[in-house]
Amino acid sequence: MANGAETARSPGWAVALIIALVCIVAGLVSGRPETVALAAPFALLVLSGRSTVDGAQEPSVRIAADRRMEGSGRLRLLLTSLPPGGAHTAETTRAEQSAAGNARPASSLVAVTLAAPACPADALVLRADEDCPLLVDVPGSGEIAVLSYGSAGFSADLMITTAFVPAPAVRVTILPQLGGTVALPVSRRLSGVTGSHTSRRPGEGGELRSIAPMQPGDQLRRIDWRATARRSADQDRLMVRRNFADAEASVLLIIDQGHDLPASTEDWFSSTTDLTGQGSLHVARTAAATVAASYLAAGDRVGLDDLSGTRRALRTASGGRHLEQIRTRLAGTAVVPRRRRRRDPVPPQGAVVLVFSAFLDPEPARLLRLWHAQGHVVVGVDCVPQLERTEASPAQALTVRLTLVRRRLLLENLRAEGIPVLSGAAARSAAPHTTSRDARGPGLPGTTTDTEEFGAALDLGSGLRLLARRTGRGAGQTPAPGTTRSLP
Amino acid sequence: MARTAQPPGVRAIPGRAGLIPLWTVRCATALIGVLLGGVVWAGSAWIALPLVVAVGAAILPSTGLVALSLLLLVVSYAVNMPDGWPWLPVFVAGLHALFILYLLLLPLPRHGWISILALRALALPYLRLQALAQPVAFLALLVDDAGSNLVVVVAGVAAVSGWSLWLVRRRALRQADRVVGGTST
Repeated sequence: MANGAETARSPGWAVALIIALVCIVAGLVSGRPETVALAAPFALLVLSGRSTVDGAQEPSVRIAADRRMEGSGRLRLLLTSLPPGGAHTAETTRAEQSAAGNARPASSLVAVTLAAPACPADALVLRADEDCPLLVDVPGSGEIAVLSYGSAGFSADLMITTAFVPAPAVRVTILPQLGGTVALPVSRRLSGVTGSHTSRRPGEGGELRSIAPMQPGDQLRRIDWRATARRSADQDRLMVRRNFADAEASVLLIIDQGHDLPASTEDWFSSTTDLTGQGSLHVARTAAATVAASYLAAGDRVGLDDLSGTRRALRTASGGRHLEQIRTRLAGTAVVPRRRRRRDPVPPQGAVVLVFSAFLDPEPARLLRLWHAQGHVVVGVDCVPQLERTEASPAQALTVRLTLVRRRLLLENLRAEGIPVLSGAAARSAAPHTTSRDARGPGLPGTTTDTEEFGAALDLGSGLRLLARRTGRGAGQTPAPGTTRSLP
Repeated sequence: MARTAQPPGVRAIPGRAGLIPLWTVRCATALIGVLLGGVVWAGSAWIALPLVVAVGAAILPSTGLVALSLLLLVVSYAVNMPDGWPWLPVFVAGLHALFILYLLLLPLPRHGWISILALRALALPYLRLQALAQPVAFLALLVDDAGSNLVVVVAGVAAVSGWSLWLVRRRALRQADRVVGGTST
């Protein structure tokens, strides 16, 4: 940090020298010893600064995350002093200093300048061996530099200072929280060999497929004696039960990180980034983490990809460690301009594809249509949060309105084509311990939301429950045109 | 539609007790400056000038303002105050304290905190210097009162010189003990 900072006399040393000289000259000229006496402290300070120019300490501090949340989204950081060498810990140095009979490092001071994002700088003046916890606001999810800082030191008589040394900013990664378990719509073409879903293939699952005469290869434990007695009056053939195989589902989550739409519409036009972390990207992270956790808890395989194409896709896999991988990858998603891809993402065969997007441009809709046409179960998750209409000018209001109208048309076209689009914002507002049954749709009384304005959209929990019921009921059948209209 | 003047971010705040807001220190500094200015410019219409400069120096990070404020106080003392003014030691202490507080606030942002331990660390060298500055102020008063009495003046100078030498020697001995203790362990 400040190790290696150069020490120098402070500007106060020169001021003290000037004041002392003025006092002495004025006193001698006017013949008043009292005026000369005024120079005494300043002259002593000048002497003090002159004699200790080589002995001043170089301050150094470090701020690190304390891994403790202090409620209401505040993270606890710990500011600790570092020894001049920088290699030991502060505790070690203190122990060494105590052992050396010098408990305090020359009582020098350190001034730490703290700057939270989009905030003016604050100062924190401490004794050089003092620690101090700090509380900073963190967003709901994502990776962010929560605090920039630097330090400068000065001797206790303020005559010697060290140069201000900036330190690397404190970066934290906030994993998206998991909501309540959601229903799990699965494809009718499950290709896995283990799992909790009933596939359309014959196998060792629990759901009855048919009762048929025993043939070579049938296991003896499959003989259904009641069916045999009922159907084979002459007892000349044995009837066996044949079941469907169980299979796991494959799910591909696609995150659109091209935009991060803040909840406050005034912030749409701000040049600074959304610091509250409650924008559409946070909604997407939370909703995707919730869906991933629900599928992985059922033993299914979940993959993760993004529309920007900047990172390698996370292949479909299952297990608790994979959930942590997904959450970490989700936390690392930031706004990245969309670039031209050589080819579109390819979902695994028989996968459920969920696209989490703000639907501000036609690209997510195009991919949804493409995968829908390929026979995948596709779901669009609208991640625009509940909007607060705070536009500052008529031009802004018009821009917001046009954007919302464009979104509305886009979403209506998707729904008309049988592609369900659910609201992810409701999943975010649901408490982690509430089930999807308790999650209500968006739109609190007194607040204006675009979903209220442009037609209701089901929340993620309810929509996935309806979709799961539909895909389960229509197993092996192509849904008739228009039946998908029941879903938004 | 209403715009808010507050910054969009939220400041980092210290999570422990024993810290004083810098605004308290700034107010104390301005108060000391106003009091000293009020004393030396009492009865004059120009009193507004050092007061404004003192308050400005406590708020704005300017070395020039600090020097101007201190020079206004010193020069006005030399011009306005009568000989043998009994509050000279208090004025010397106040001037020193004002200078230290100005220096403390000079490189710092406007908003912040300072720990009580840091203030104590600042107070220690202040008191150490005052242990020498106060006898000098008393000696100046003594010389002013009994300027014609050579014996009194010589005795006063000798006492202050002896006191200064004793303080310096005591500090040197303490530092030597510390060095010896450190190397032996």
